[in-house]
Amino acid sequence: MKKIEAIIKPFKLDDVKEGLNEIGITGMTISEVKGHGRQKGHKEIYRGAEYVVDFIPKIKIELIVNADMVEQVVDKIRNSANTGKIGDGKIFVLPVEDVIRVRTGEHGKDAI
Amino acid sequence: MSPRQALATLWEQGLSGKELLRRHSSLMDEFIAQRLLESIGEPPSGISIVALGGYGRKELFPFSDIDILLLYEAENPVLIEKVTDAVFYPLWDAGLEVGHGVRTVDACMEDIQKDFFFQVALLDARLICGDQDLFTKLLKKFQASFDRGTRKNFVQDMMAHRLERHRRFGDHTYLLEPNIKETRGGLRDLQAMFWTGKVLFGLGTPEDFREAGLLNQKEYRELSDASNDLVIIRNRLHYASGRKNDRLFFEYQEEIARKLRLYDSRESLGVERFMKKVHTDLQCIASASDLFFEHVEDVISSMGIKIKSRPLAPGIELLNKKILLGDEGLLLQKPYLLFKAFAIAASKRTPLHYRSRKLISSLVERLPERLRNSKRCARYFLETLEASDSPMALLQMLDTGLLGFYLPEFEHLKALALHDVYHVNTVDRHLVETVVRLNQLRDKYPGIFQGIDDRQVLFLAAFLHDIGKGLGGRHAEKGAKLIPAIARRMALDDKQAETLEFLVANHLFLIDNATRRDLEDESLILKFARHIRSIDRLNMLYVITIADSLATGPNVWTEWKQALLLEVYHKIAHLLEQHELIDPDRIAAVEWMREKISALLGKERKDELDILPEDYLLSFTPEAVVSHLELRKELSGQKVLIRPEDRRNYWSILLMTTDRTGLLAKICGVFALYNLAVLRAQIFTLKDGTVVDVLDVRSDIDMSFREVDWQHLESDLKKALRNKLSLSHRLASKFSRFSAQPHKVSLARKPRVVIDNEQSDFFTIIEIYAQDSPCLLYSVTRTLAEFDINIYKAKIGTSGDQVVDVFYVLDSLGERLEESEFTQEVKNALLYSAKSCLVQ
Repeated sequence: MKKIEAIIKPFKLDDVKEGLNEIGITGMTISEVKGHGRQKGHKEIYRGAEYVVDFIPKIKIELIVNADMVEQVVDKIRNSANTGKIGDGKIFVLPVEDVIRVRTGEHGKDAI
Repeated sequence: MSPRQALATLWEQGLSGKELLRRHSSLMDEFIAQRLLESIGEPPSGISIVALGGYGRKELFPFSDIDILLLYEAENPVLIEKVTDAVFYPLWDAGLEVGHGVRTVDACMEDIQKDFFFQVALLDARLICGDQDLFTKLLKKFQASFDRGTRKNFVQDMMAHRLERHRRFGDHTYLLEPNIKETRGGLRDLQAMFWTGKVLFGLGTPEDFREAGLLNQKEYRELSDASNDLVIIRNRLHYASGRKNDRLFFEYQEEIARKLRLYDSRESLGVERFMKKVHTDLQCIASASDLFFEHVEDVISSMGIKIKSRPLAPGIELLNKKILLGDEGLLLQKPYLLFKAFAIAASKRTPLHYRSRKLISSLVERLPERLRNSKRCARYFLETLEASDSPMALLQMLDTGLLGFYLPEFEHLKALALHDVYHVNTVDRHLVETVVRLNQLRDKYPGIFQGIDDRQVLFLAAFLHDIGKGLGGRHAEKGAKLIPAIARRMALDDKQAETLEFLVANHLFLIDNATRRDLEDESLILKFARHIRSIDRLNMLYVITIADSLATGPNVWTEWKQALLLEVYHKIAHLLEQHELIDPDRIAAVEWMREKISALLGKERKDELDILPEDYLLSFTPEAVVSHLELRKELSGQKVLIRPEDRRNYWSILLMTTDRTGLLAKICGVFALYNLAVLRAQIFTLKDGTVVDVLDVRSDIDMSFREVDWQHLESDLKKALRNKLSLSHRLASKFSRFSAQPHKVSLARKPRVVIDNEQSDFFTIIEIYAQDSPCLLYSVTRTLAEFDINIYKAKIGTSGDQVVDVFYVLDSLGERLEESEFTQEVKNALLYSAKSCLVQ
């Protein structure tokens, strides 16, 4: 089993979700995260008031899949999240030792 | 049969509400008496088994504690132990929660001094079995323990505990998961009223209250209905949770709604109607108990002293820091005073006196309908909104029913809770909260508030933004449809009405687009700007969006959302400030072009319209655009197409290719090689990366159009694009031959370079002012290419011998050039290349 974490642009969330739905993946964890990286934040001055935003708003998607699904999922996320510009994000693939469903206590594949 | 089994049987019989509580209490009484009889026979004199609290009132909920006092007269440890064993063990064995005490009458009297809760529990004492005389003795002594001083203390303790309870369990009645017993408006509030009534006035039941005039018939009926509802719900809740749980958690709401036969319909969810009932009931009890305790406060604080009132306006006065209205006759004669009173309440942050609130509630149904069309009332109402930096005045207005009378559209929102985990408030409360939050934003965004012309419309929009909730379908649109009628009644002018409708219809526009759309797409932002039309309206939408989020719940307004909202706001504001972009003529012109082109292209090629930027559309005729689209089909790979045209005074060259870094430098270099001076140039990049350039040129050496070898030029250009031609080498050797010829260096002004990030949110704009020279363009564009800077749009113009080049650029990552060190480097390099051209 693998955990796939993807950091994407907020407006790409619907596309990515839709893409994943197409290959039968509906369960995932989605969070609003703040990116600090190569892309800079921005400073705005308007009518005398200055606002500094020192991060870039991003969306993080986390999901656990069987190892044989990884390639398909990663491709799907890449294709749906790609705008060709800077800040399109990153995808991480991590090994997962076990998954346990809290309610039933099921392990492994059954608990995904 | 154990009490639990007996209870299950009652449930199976379909018993619910107060009847269930009474039967449950009786069953418990029988069970206890039976156990006692079995183990020691008839209870001896000098011992009484007494039920306390809810059990004493015969209101025993399924999983409530069984509070029992074992009262005895003389020390007889052996007997007492026998009795306690006989009473308590079976209860414990049956798995019940038992509250127990073993005391003499004197010990009870001592304990009530120390333990307020015990004192309260004794108010509901009831004999289950045993010595009647002993029990009567206890009651007499207990009643005698109250004198004027202890009464006052008791009431003050009761009020303090009430406030503390509200603080702990929720101090408003609109909670998503309310505690039916302890929340404000819960059953405990009801009991607190009757305990206090009993101690202070000797009135311990709703019927007593009604007879004494503390509740009128309508209030009595509503209060009884509310308490009956809550009893039924609490029963169900205990049953559903299988334990003593009084909090109406999300997971039980649907189940109980179904049990109460509230099913989903097309307009609303069953669970939403159920929660509406719960919130209405809680609110009913909260209002009644507020009014009651304010009355009690009045009674105990004015014991002996007469407080004088102070007039605020004719018919409105201030009494004990509360606003008091004149009598019924006056209010029916001048009903606008009701609205004036709330405007004063909001601006002075002073609540209405409970007597006035009661009066308004009883008057509302008799108010004339024409009041809704009164300009004066509208003015007071708008003042109330604008002054409400706390929810007090509006909530009181809601609570008395005046708001529902004034805005009938509001009535269906009362106590309406949306079944999601997002909104912590019911819709009515949410709207009040939005107005309050908006008022609080004034200090935070003074600049934006200054930029809003009509605050009345702003606050009204904030108050009405969710007016379409609960009507099924899209609430923003449904709400906007209700606006014209409201605006007419409130005598708003056409412009105000239009703005109000726009704001209600679009209150989610900014946040939806900020989180779901690509904010780097200039044409999209331009669409937004045109939809909003003015900075004024943008500012209003912006602050309403923030106030709405803040009022929705504690976790809704995040820094994350703020960052996106800020970005979309600034980009739209920026475009709106460039008036030519939102000029109706321009919009019409673009529309006209689209229509013409679309007619020429035919339906199946309609998609191609989407790749055409506006600037491009406005620079050509429809026929020219279509011919470009035709040529675009012939393009592929490294190919470049050239279509020169003789315009007598100059030659116009259409050049099409695909975009790449350094493209313009290569074009300019090849042109310089052929002695073509660029007079003007328009450079466009379509959204699919196709480059359409139109360069107006003339020959530097007076050749005629036909003398130029265009084919050769095209093949050299192709070579250059394939990097098979060294332009710098060719140009250097070409121009060194002319170097003897003195250039107009003496007259040369110093070149100037401006790098600007303010004009556009999407591009860095580089402007170069310099003396014209044959290879100037080549030189500066090559310099830009050296930095991997891409040119998306360019305007080249000459006036006299001065050249003005404007480039819209982004770096290789598609970002604007923002690092100051880097822009300085680019600037220096451009200055150098402009200057070095001159001396060649």
